[in-house]
Amino acid sequence: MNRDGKYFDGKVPVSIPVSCIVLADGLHILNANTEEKIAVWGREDIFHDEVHNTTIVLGNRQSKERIELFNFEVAKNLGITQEKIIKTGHKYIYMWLGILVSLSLIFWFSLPFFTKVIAKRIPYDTEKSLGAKIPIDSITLSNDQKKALTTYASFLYPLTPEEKKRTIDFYVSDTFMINAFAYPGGRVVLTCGIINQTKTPEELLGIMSHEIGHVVARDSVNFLVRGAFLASFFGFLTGDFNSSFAVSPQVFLSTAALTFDRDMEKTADQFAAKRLGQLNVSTSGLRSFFSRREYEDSIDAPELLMTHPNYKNRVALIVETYPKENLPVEVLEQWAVIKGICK
Amino acid sequence: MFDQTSEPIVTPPTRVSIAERLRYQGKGSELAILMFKNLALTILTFGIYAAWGRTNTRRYVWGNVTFMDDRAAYTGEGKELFKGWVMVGVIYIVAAIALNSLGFFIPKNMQVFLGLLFLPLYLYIYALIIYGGSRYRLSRTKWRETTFSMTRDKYSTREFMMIVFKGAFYSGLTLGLYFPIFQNAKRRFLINKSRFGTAKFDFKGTDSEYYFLLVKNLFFTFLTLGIYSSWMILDLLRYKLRTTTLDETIRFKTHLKGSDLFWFSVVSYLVTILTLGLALPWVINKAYHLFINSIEVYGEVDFASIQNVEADGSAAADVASVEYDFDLGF
Repeated sequence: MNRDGKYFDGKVPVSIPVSCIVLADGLHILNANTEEKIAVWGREDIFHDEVHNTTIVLGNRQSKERIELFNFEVAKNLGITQEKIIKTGHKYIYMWLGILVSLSLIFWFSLPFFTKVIAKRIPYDTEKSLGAKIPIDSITLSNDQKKALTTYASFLYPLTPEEKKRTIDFYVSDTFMINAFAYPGGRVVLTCGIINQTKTPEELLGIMSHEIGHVVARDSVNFLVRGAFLASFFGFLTGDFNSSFAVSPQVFLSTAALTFDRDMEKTADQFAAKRLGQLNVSTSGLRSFFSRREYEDSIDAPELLMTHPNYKNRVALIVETYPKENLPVEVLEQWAVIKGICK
Repeated sequence: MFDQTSEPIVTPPTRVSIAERLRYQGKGSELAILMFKNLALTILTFGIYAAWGRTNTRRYVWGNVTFMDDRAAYTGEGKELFKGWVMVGVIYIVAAIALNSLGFFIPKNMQVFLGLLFLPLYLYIYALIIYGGSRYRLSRTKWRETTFSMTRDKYSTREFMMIVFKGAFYSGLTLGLYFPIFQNAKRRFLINKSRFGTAKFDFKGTDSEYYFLLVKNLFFTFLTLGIYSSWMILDLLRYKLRTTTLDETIRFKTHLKGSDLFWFSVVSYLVTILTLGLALPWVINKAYHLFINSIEVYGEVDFASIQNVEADGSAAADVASVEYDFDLGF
């Protein structure tokens, strides 16, 4: 007899090779070895058990019996197709891979747009109160030092009535890492490392303008919203609800501590060049600082892999944004006082 | 309609000797189609499809495992996992809001005690997830239409809670030295509660044997800067299989070699990195081949004496165990 499949009675773990005959009254199941009749399933009781996605298994609605078919003709005669079985073939791999890659690209490229739309709707006061929760380990300044830093800052900001509505506070952090940070809510931190690296007042003004550029563009909020978006997205993908809570204090702090992306840095550089130009300050300070950093960092990695544009491109962008040369700034006598903070 | 008048089924001789290996017959390309499809649809549905995706993958993997030429099957459903996913999400959100809100009312220097206060609650949930998750997965696993299961009642739940509380307490007190004993106790409990139909699994491993095995393996792994970890994984797998029996007479062993596992780890790591993760389905498929095909089941068994039984389990616990990477011990 034909071996059309294997029969399981659903009571004991024993499998019996069977022969199946489809007749008008239903499916006749015969033991393929002994030719004895095992059961007759009525047509209305037969279903395709979709629990099995690697082969066709027929089930009986009235019991726990199952038949795993070798001969799919039996299923065909009962009106059951192979559609529920996993489709194989390279074309399906390419199809799903293509869909996956397209979706990822759509998500990645639409992310900045959605981020900006949402970030715009977050009131500045909210940003300020969020920023206030980030502890800043800064140096306690003397009155002279405070005055000097305020003079520098107020020389650059605010210049417009709109800017006057948003205050920016500058802090100095006692770390030798050469960096500056713009935290949410207009809190800018200059490290001793960067202050010590500057050689002229124009260089420091350039760095401060760059950070003001981040504050004005609200990059920290954008970054925070994007971080929340990404964390939630991957959280939902993986089902990790921890990451979906992107605005928990820990995630907030870790996100805020991250650097901005290349586009944000470019925009901040452009802002700095424009702002210095507005104030008749030479951009040569900012350019010379970047040129020196390029030499000292000697990082020759492709820009794609870096969070900041490379220094050559940054210098070129500054020249492109504000090509004029101005006289050096001499009015800022507090230069020495600021340099003295980190001594 | 079921024919009640049909003649009795002729079953094979009652007690037979077996020495058969498990077989995994899945193909990397088929698993890749499933995994890419699942990921794409999960992105499109903002994570909702993940439950159905996971179910389809399990159905594929389970369905490709055969023993004595008969397939296993995963009978869980996507909607069960989805309900579990929603439940875990709601519990998590409520807990996170409650914890964060409490943080506002408690002084900063006292907040460390808040964590201690919630430790018993965390352990309680952990125990429920491990027990419930194992139970769900077993209850949805069949071979020859006979279901695996894990018994659970008020007393066994209490017993497992005690194992977890005691294990966590002593592990903390001994700075982790008690942890292997805790792991072994957990495994003993879970395996001893497991069934295939009416046939019981039994765990015969001793704490001292496991402790010695773990210390020895950790020592060599440390000494070889991690290279020995493949042999460690294998040793632990051998221990798990060697100490487990089914129906008192069926035993398990693996034919896997440490060197095979080592080279597989090296090659799969490199292939995954070099293909930016796209080769992962093939790597996973190969891992299933390597591990599953190496397992031999041997001993004497009377299949006709094993009766199928109803089994149940919580999908939420299964979801939580997957999401939070809890080792179910299987």
